[in-house]
Amino acid sequence: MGKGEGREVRKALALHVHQPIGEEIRSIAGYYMVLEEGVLKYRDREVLYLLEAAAADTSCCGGAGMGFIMVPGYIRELRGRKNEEGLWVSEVDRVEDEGERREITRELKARHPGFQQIIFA
Amino acid sequence: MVGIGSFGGYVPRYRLNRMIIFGSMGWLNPVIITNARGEKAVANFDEDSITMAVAAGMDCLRGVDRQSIDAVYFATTTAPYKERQNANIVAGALGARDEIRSADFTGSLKSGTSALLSALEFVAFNGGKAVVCAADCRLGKMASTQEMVFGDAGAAVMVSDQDVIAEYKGSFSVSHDFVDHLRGANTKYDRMWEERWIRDVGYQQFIPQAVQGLCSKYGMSPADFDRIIYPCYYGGARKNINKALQVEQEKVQDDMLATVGDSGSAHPLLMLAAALETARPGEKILLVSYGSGCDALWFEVTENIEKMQDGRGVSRWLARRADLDNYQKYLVWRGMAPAETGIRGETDKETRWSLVWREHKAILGLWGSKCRKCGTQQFPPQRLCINPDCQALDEMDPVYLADKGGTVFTYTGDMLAASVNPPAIYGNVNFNGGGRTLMDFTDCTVEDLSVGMPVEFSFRIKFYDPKRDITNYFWKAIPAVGEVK
Amino acid sequence: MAEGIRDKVVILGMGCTKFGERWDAGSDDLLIEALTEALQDAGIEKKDIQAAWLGIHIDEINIGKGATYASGALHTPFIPFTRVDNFCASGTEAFRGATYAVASGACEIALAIGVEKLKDTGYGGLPDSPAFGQEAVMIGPNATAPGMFAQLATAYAAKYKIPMEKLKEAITHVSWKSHQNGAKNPRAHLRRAVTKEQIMGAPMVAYPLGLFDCCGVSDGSAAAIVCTPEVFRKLKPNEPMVKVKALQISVSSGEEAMFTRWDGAGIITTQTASRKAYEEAGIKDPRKEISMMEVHDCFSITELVTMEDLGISPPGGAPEDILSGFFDLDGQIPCQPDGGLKCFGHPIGASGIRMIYEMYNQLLGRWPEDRAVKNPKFGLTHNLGGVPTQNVCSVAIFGVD
Repeated sequence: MGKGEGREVRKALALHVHQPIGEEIRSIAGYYMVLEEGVLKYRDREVLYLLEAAAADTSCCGGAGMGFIMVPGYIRELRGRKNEEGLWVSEVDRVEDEGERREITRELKARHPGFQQIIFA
Repeated sequence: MVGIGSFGGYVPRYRLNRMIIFGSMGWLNPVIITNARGEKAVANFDEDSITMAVAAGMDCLRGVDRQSIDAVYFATTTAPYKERQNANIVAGALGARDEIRSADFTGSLKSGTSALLSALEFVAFNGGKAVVCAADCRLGKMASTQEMVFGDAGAAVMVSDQDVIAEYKGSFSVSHDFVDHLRGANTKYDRMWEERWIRDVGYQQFIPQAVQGLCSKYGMSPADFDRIIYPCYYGGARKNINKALQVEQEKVQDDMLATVGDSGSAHPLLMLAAALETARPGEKILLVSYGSGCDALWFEVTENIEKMQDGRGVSRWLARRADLDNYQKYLVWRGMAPAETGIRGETDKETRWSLVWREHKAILGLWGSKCRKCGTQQFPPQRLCINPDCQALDEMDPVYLADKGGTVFTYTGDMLAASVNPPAIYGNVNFNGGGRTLMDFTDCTVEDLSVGMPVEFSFRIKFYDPKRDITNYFWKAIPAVGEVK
Repeated sequence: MAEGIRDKVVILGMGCTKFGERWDAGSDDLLIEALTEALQDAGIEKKDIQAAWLGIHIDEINIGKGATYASGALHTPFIPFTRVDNFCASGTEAFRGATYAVASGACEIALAIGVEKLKDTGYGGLPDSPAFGQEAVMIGPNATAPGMFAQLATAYAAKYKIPMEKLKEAITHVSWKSHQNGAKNPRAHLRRAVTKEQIMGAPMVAYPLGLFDCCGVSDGSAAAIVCTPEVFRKLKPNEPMVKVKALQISVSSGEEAMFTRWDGAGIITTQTASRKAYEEAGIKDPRKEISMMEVHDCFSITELVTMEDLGISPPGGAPEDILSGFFDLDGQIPCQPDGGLKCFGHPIGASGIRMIYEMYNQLLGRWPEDRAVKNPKFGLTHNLGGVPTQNVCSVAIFGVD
């Protein structure tokens, strides 16, 4: 990945690269991984979300783990193509509206109790 | 004239819908469904009877010069200390002087009114001001009626001989070794005898007995009172008591069972605070407690009441609510189930009492210092002024910061700090009037916070040392609660 | 006016262990490993060292108090050996002890060695200790370092009215860069490049810092042997000489914690120490003159504000500089060429000396092409200890002749 590519991904509104399920993405402070992908019907659209697990098991100060749900956005095209690393890429519309975020958060929390953080990409 | 000078209430932010308890424990004891209406107030993980008593006391003492207080009484059946005057912790937090009378009232649910009677008699004899702070945080076992019924709350009354809002007219007490509920000295959970007996022999006989006693003592009739306040969580018994006293339903104060639950020794005073929020001059108020007997007290509201109807009391705390949507969280917060907080959370923290004594003003009362040379307010108290352009030595006056409030300067929500309510939220707070300190935040989520928003300070459990059974207290920041005029 | 120590002390040799979870090694093994490399590099024997300073902060479960554990483990021949602790800046404090001894003329060859063995605690993270005293236990918040540093971000975003999303983007670049650099370094604790999307996809550890914004804990040791220029010339007549151009330390006055003048969006001690260091080194315009830096990137937001505190980026300008690649390995002032705390690792007492180790080797052109900074003149190290409200900062500048 080249310099600044992450930014372009954000600005391009909406490319989601599917990380392999169960593969640890490690930093020096800990790791996280995608447990499963899910789809939530919200109004007339479908929201892509990922159930993920994280452990800050080697962080400076303290230790913690958490379950979190990442919400890339509303599905435009699911797994339409693969990138150069062979990972699936989907097109999504980010959830930007605060009201929609609140409602989606409530529904996801009800559907998946115990997950502490709902993060909108 | 001796009477009530001010009043205050406190209801913790978290409310547990009783259907959640039934949903979690109904499989074991299905009969708890009969008490499953409404919600109960649950103390946060960092609250107990002392902190809730202080919160109610702070509410009650808004605008009152703390140096003018001559006695502080604390009433509870859930005191954290058997030996160490709990009332002195409350008094220290309220910013009272050292030269005061203090006492703990305990042992029965009527201890709140017993403390109030003592305060009235103290002021009648000595003049001045006496503050009664009551709070309870009683536990019922999982799947018990008590678990359903009990709620956590605090209430406070300031007794004064000047500018009273309700004149004290008289009292009558009955005392019985009637054991409906009990806890031994080493017992954590309430135990009760048969409910039909408690209802028929306890509430329905003793409350009328106390009321009739007061009425015949002063030549009154129950119908002469405009507001009648008594605790009783049996709806059927309430109807029977009202009938026995021949009082109209609308004169009887709501028992707050659906919103708070029975808050034990605080409950009569909590209901009194709610009544005083809307009382009109001239009204006669009858306050009755229940527990190992009854105290009945008669007050008459004065013209001064309107000055105190500024938002203090119970309503704004009731409005400040958040769902506790999780029964397990309640169990952990209340110490009913062991929970893993990691090896780091097991770190032994010895309380160094000689240090605590040296710093007791700062720890209990959030006292800082204010420089006489440059006017800079600072916390913790300094000998050398923190203002780099001043740095005067020993030019400090003490300043009570607990009621000053402040604004958020920085904040974070920390998933790594050992906590039974992660994330641990803390940040820098700028005191109104100057000075800054780093402190824990509570009763909020990270999403509730922003830089610059107003906060107030709330006395809380800082940490508990399980090895030595020591509860340590300090102040935390909470988002400013609805404005008091 | 004090004249400082510019050009009075030079580095004769350095050593640095591999940082990481060194389950195989105790503090003694780590100390021996670092000193052995430093002695070989210096071309001297242990008996030539005349005084030593040990930098260590928290590792009392392994080494106890004082410096006798280190002198006993290294069998130093009855020379003075002093333990210094100033939080995470302890390594540079040890280095200061050694350089001051040489600069004063009290001795000609001195050792600074830092070590920290953190993986014997039974859990991830630093041991819990009353680091700020007993009074703080009674009244201070239930805080951790990530949470304390995270507050720099809330204050920074509020001060410069920059959306948190934008600030996250800049600190994501900071972490991304460290991972890029660390991946190339065989001694780094974590050698793994990551994408920005992976960094952004991590959950919050302390709002607004995510998992990739935080450093970890590592075991490790680093050592520096310093001497006078005269001794260096005698021992290494034809080799380039890395000189200490400046070494300044600044410690909080209490003002940040209690007075309301501090803006919370930077570190006062970094501002103070760096201004003094530039003056000592004769540097007028650091943005133009500094060639490379190793800064205390305990958290990515710390690195961001440090770029401004050091006077490299203008106030409010660090996000733009960072995102433009100014501090990347091929940028104008490469920052963390070795991967920094975030990838090289952070055995507390060793970190300050590890930073100097990187500047020293870069100045001598010893690293392979893919991680070498081009023609460096001045290298800066910034070693920060404590928390933003209460801290110790050291800034050192090195040059090669």
